[in-house]
Amino acid sequence: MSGPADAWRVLPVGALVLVVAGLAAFADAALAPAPGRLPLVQRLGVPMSEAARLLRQRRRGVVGSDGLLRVVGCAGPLVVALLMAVVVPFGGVTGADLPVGLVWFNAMDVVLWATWWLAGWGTNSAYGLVGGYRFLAQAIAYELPLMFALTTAGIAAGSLQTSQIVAAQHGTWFVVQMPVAALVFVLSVAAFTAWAPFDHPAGRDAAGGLLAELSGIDRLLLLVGRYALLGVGAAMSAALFLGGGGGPLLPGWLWSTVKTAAVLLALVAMRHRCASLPAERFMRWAWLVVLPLTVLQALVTSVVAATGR
Amino acid sequence: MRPSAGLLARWAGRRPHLLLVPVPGYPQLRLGVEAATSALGGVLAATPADADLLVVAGDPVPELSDAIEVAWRELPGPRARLHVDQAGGLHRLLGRAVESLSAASQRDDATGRRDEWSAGRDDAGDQEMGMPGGLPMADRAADRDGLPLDVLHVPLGPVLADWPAGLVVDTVLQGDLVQQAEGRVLRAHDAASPSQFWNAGTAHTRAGALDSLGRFLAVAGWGSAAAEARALRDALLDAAEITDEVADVEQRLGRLGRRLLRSRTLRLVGDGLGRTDGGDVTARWRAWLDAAGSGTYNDAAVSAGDRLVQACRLMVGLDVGQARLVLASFDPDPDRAELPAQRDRAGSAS
Repeated sequence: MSGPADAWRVLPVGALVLVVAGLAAFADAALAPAPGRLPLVQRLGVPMSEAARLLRQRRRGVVGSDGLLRVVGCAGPLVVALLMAVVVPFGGVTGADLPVGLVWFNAMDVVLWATWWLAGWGTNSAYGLVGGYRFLAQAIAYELPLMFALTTAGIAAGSLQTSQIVAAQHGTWFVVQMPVAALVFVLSVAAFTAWAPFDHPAGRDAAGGLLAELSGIDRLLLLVGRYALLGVGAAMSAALFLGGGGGPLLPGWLWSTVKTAAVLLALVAMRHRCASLPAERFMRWAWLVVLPLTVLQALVTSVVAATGR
Repeated sequence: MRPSAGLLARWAGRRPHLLLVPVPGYPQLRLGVEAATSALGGVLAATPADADLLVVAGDPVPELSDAIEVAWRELPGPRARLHVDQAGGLHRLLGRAVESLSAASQRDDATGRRDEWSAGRDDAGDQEMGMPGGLPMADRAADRDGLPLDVLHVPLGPVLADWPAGLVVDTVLQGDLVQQAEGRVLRAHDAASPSQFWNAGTAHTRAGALDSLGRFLAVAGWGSAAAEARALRDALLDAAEITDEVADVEQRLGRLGRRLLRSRTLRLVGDGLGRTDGGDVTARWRAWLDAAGSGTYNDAAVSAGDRLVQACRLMVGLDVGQARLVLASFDPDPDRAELPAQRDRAGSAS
């Protein structure tokens, strides 16, 4: 349990989130596709160059755009990533080990519905609006499977506290016990981050969609927030399904780092391996195949948990 | 200049974002700018808001020039523009334009702007009749479910990433749903007839098919495959002169083809979409892939004008993303076949 005295822990969590976001950006640059690829050293400089560009660029203010909502939308993903990160156990330490950490994580993911939508809608642009609509459609496809995936981990551990879920994986990792839930969770991380193949809300075909009218610091904030979400999602996958900091020989924080990096690299690498999937194309799959499978997974896990006790 | 600003400029200059506006009739200029951009380590921007440089490849007609002016006003700054009218020395020209992004004159440009970026201008703009920014409110009309919904008139093109040169499709949108689509072409100033660039031999025909395939893949959101198709396009055009590279190109083309045919996401995106007698979106991009290998088309008789009419008819009732995929699968590039004259009604559907 955490008390007010532990509030200082939020500060290093914030720093860690920024580090993870940076790592995600560098990994993304390093894994750029082959044609026209720069040498590795130059590729690793790309995130720095992009950030430098955006830092000195002016902010675009479309006529009639809603300044407040646009700012909420642009800063939203980074803030949500921070709020998610406080409940993510990392090598035996959790920023704020809430008794309902799992529910908190889920609630923060739902806040993303609003922030992505506001980022698109606040700019008063047809393409931004299209991007916002696309994210909401996508959210309807991924949210329920994601909730059941989280629930399954909670059932198996008999707790909504994330540190308890890590502790419950002392014998076997949950990815072995509930592979469907683990896979669905990792794919949902890509979906709520608007990352490939679920990057249709920021699709090139809609001139960047959510990103269409953003420039300067607005765009930088949104892109950093996106990488941060990807990193925090990877860390949460490692904690919920890959045993968190548990493992032989190495200290817990190193195991957490290795597992998070592995999930993060898999997510980043996905980007160049598939076309962008519009929500209306995978909605049927999400509801008719993935959702029943996650419910079944939750049922099996419940029966095992009830009989095993 | 402060040292920190110098550092920022040095880093920023290594990754310029270009908004490329191709003009019909000058495909070789477009290809030249694309090649020079990647040689500089730059990327092609998706929107004016994301661009540092505006590059016009060719000599545009007045209406296209107007669209370019609008796009220029939307570049945030620091910004520079470049008019390219010959393929030589592009790398040096672009390099100099990138350097000018860090020049002192950018300050004057920033303070002297008389557009939405003008100094002291409020975010919300003028308030006129209670409308935000003096803009008229969108009209409303019943959507396909009979519910009243805002109607937006959105022209797709002519300044749009991964879009055929000079093409405009005037659409009426409700939400992201296309309710009407009508296509036309803004021709080049001096182009009496379309460019014959893509018809100059088998290598050019194959490269043309790869150009279309690259555009389709970019619209489908598969950037790396699009980049490979475009790299192969350039390699084929080079190999038309240098023959010892040909075997390597054929091998890479085979690999790209297998990768595309294996892709489940691409199937999920294109299957059953925009179906005509000749097949769906998947069938059409496969036809581009086949033509890239063989250099011959099965439907050579279908002109770009007819392809545009067909695409516009199919776009109605689809959302913007699907509509763009359908259009990209037809790829009615004005440089690839005869199209009706400027301002003619090329396609109409309601």
